[in-house]
Amino acid sequence: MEIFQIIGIGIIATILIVILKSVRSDFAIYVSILTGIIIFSMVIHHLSYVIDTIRDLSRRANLEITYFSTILKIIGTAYIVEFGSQISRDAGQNSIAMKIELAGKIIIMTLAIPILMSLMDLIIKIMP
Amino acid sequence: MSLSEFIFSWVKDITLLFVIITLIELVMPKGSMKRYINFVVGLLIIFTVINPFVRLTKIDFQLERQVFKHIDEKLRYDEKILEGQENQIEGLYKERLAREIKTYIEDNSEERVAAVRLDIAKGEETFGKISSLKVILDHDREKDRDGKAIDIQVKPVILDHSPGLKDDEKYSHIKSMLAGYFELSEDIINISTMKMED
Repeated sequence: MEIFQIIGIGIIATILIVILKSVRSDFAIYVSILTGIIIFSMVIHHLSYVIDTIRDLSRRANLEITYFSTILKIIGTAYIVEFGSQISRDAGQNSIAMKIELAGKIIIMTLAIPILMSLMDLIIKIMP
Repeated sequence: MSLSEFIFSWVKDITLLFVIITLIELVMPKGSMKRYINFVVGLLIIFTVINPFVRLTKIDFQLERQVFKHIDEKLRYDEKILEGQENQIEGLYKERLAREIKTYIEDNSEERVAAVRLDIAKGEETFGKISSLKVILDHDREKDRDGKAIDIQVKPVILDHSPGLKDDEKYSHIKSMLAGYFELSEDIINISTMKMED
């Protein structure tokens, strides 16, 4: 089972970080980043399966594909932003983490604005 | 389409939408980004709820087309900003280059420079290279002992636009100096003098 591998990697990394913090604290952050990347790459294909299922469902529900692809893009952006900001936070760089999050928020808003505007157009058209 | 069919398809769409939203909520990362995803999901719910009424009122509306229209508008806006920035950068680059050429001529010869006019190449590979250079020398200003320029007289200025063979020959040493320093061809350099009315 993959989950045992992931938990194993997580526990080993935690022990390594705890030991390294007392010996060479600057190496602890590298271990943390590496563990994050390994765990993320191990589950990314599972995530793609979930997304394929959601896509299939949206096709059945006659949802607009544009809408759906935007939501997927937003979720992807949110994941990457969270990942990046967590790494910065682990390294004690809170201000960098905040800036990454700010960039993510702005990009998400830019993706959402065309949909918001077209919805506003639609509502205005429906009004008698 | 009968009324019951219409309501049935509407309810089916909404139910499936909520199943999808639940899945999206599960996949969604925790943290500050959640609110933003919820905002877009909210828009999706509004659209699905009012979509049947759009079909009923027979309004010609395609979300995809409208979204593309707005994306296109945004792209055009970005292009406009980029173009403005490029022009500003180009202007600044030309100004600095002109200043550098002026300082170079004044430091390495006895001449004073009145103006430097240049054009730069805009090809992909040669971008930024000088494509034509015109230097106008000021003859009626001399250097004092410290090298500072002093104006001797103030008279109406007439620019001599004809390059003239004389000037070209006279200042060939400046030409070759410039061509060597800035790695240019001598053919694109034009040096003339500014003449005063008596």
